[in-house]
Amino acid sequence: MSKKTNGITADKVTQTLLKYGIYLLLLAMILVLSITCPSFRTVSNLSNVLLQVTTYAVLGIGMTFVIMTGGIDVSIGGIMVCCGSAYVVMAKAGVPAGVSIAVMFIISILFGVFNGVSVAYFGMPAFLATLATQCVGRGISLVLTGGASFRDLDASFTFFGKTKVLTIPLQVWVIVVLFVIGYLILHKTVYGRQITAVGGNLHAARVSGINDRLITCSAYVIMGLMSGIAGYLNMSRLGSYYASMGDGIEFMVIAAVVIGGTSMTGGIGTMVGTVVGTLIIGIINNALNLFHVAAEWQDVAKGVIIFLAVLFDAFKNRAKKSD
Amino acid sequence: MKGIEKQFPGVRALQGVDFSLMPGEVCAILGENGAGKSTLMNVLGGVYPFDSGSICLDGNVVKIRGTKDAEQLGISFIHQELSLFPLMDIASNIYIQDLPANKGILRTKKMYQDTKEILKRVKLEHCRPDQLVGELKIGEQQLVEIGRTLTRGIKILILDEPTSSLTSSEVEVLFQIVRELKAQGTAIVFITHHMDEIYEICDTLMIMRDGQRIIKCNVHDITRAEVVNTMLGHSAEEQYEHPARSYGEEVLTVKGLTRKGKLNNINFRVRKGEMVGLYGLLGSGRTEVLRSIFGLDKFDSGEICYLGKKMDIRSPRDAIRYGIGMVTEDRHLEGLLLDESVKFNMTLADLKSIQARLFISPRKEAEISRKGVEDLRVKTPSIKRAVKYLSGGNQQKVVLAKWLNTNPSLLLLDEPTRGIDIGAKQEIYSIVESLLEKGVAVIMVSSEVPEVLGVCDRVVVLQNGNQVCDLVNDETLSASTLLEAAMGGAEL
Repeated sequence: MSKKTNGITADKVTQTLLKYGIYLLLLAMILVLSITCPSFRTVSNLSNVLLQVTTYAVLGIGMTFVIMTGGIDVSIGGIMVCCGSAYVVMAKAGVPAGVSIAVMFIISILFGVFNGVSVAYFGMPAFLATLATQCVGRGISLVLTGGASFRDLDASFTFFGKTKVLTIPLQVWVIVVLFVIGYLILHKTVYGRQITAVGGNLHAARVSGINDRLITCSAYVIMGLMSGIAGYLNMSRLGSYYASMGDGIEFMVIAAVVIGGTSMTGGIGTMVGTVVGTLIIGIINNALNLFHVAAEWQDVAKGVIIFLAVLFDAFKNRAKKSD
Repeated sequence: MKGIEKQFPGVRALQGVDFSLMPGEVCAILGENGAGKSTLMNVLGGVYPFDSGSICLDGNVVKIRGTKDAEQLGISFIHQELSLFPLMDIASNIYIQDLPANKGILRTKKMYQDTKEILKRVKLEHCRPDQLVGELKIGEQQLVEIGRTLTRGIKILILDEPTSSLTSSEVEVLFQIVRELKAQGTAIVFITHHMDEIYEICDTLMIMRDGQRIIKCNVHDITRAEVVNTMLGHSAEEQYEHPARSYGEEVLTVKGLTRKGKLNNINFRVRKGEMVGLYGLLGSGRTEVLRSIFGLDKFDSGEICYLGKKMDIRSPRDAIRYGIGMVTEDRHLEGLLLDESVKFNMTLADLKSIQARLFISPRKEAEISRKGVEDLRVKTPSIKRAVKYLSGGNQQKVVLAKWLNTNPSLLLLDEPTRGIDIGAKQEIYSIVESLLEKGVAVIMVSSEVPEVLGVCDRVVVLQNGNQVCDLVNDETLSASTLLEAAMGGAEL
C-alpha cells in the first residue's frame, strides 16, 4: 500500500514538472548563468538580452495566434524585408518618415490578408501558401533595392530603436505592451476564445456558429502586421536595412512558440508560454556569446537545445495522451 | 483473469475483477458507462497495463505488455473506431502486419489470393482484394477488420460495440461469422448496449458496475428486466416514457429538399412542442437532412421555411441566428473541444452572452455554466474540468447545455443517446421533454426503433435518400412497420 501512495506522489511530481517545466528551465538557466558568469547578471547585459529578442518576441506574438488556429506562417522573414525595402525606397524619394512607416505597416497587413485568404478561403496548406509569400516578399525586396544595404536611416525613423526609458530601451517597453495586448486578446476576449475553438476543433467551432474562415484568416493578418512591426523595430534598432534581414527567422520564432508550450496542432497554448520560450532562446544566444562559442558551433548548440526542448514537449504530450 | 486491479488518476477503474472464458463461449459484457467494461477488455487486449492480478491462458500465466503480446497470444480486439487505412486496398489492410514478401519484394499475387479466402470467410465475396477500403461501407470495413484477425490463429475475439454502426443485414452477417468462429472454438467477448443481440448470440453475460464484477451467468438464467436493474444497481423506471404533448404553430416546413446523390424530395413539418423522429438505416440520408437544415451542407433544390418564412441559411451561424440548435452525431468530432473546460464548451455557441465590453466576463461565464451544470445535472467536480474527463453521458449534457444557452426554438438532435448509458439516456429524454413543454420543436435522428417509438410524436422514415413515409406515432405504429419501411422490403 505504501508503495502505491509513493507512486501517486511520484506521479504528481512528474505532472507538476511537466506542467511548469518550461518555467523551471528558464529559472534554472538564469540561476546557473548568474552564478557561473558574472558578466551575465549585469543590467546592461540583461537589457541587451531583451533587446536582442525583440524581433523574435514581436513575431512570436503573431505566431502564437497563427499556431493556435492550427496553422503556420513561414512568410514572416519575407514580409519583414519587403516592408523594409519599401521604406528605403520611399525614404530615398523623400517621403516623410511617418508616412513611410504607415505604408510599411499597410503592406505588411496586405501580405497577411493574402496569406489568410489563401489558407482560410482557398484551403491551401498553410506551410506552402506562406512559403510562396516568403519568396514573393524577398523577391520584391531585391527588385526594389537591388540587394543593396542602406545605412544611416533617418533619425525620426530610428527613434524607437535608440531611445531608452528608465535605462531600458524603448523597444523593450513596446514589446511588453504588445505582449500584454496579445495576452488580453488571446485569453480574455471572445475573439481569443474563437481562435482557440477553431484550432482546438474546427468542426465543433463551425457547428457552434463560429465563422471559422474569418477567424483563421484574421490570425494571418495579425501575423502580417506583427512582421511589419518586427521589420520596423529591427531596422530602427540597427539604423540600417540589409537584404538578408529576417532570413530563416521563421523557424526560430516557431521554435520559441512551441518551446513555450503551444501545440502545433492548434487549440492549446498561452501567450505567457511564448514570452518564456522567446526568453529561453534569447538567453541561449546570450550565453553562447558570453562564453565566446564560435559562430558555427553556436548554430549546432542552438539546434541541440531546441531539439531537447521540443523533445520534452513531445514527451509531455504523450504523457497527457496516456491518461 | 483473476483479481485484476487497475487504477487511473483519481479512479479505481477495476477492483479485483475475475473473468473467465471457455473455448467457444460467446460472452456479453454489460454495464453503464464507466462501469469498467472497456477498461477490463483493454487490459486483456494489452492496451492498458494492470496494477495487480493475473491472466492465465490455457492454464498458463501469461504476461501481456502490449497489444502485440496480446495478438501473439491469439487475443484480438476490434475497437469501436476502426484502425484501417482507407487509402490502401483490402488485401494490404488485411496483411499490413505481416505482408507476404520474398526478399523484401511484395508477393502481391499470393496476397490477393489469400485475401480472397479471407473475404469469403467474412462474407465479403462481392469485394475485390484490390478495392480501396475507403470505398467500402462502414459495415464492410468492420468485416475487413475482422478478416484481418483471421490471418492469425485467434483464441479470443473482443468486439467493442460492433453493431452500433451497422445495418441489420450487416449485423446478421457479423453474427454468422461469430457463430462460425464459435464453432471453431474461438471465445468471443461482446461489449454492447443492445439487449436483443445478447439474447440472440451470446451464451453468457457478465454485468459490471463501478469497476466490479456483479454477476456472470448464462443468458437464459436472467431476464431483461433483471439485467437492466443489475446494471443500474437500483430498479429502473420504464425505459421510455412519452407524456401527452400539445402542439402549437408550425416552426419548420421542409419542402422538396433535394441534394444530388444524397436526398430526394424530402417533405415534412414540425410544430411547436412536437418531436419528429427521422428514422432510417445507415446511409439513408437521415443525418444529411439535419445538416442541410442547419447549413452544414448545401442542398440543390427545395426550400425550408421557418415560422412561415423562407429561410436562407448558408452556414450554422445563420441557423443559430434563426434560433436553431444542433446536437451532432459525433460529439467528439463536431460537438466538443475535449481539452477545454466545461464552461468553455457550454458557452461556445453563444459567446455574446459572456461578453462584457471588450473582454469575456468570468462572472457571466461562470453563472451560465453553473446554471447549465445544475439544470442538466452534469456530474463534474468543477466547471473548469476538461470535458475529456467526463463520461459520455455527461459530455452529451454539456453539448445540450451549450445549445440550451442559445434559447433555441428548434433543436436538431442527431443520435443524441448514442453510446451513453441508460441512466443518462433517461435524463436526456427528460431534458428534451421539458423543452417540448416550453414549446421548443425537436427533430431527432435515431437508428434505434424503440427510441423512436418511445419519444417521438411523428416519424419520418427515409430510405436511400427518399422519404418513404411520415407516420403518426400512436399505439398502432409498430417496430416492424418502421423497420420494413426503412428497409424498403428490398433486403431482409
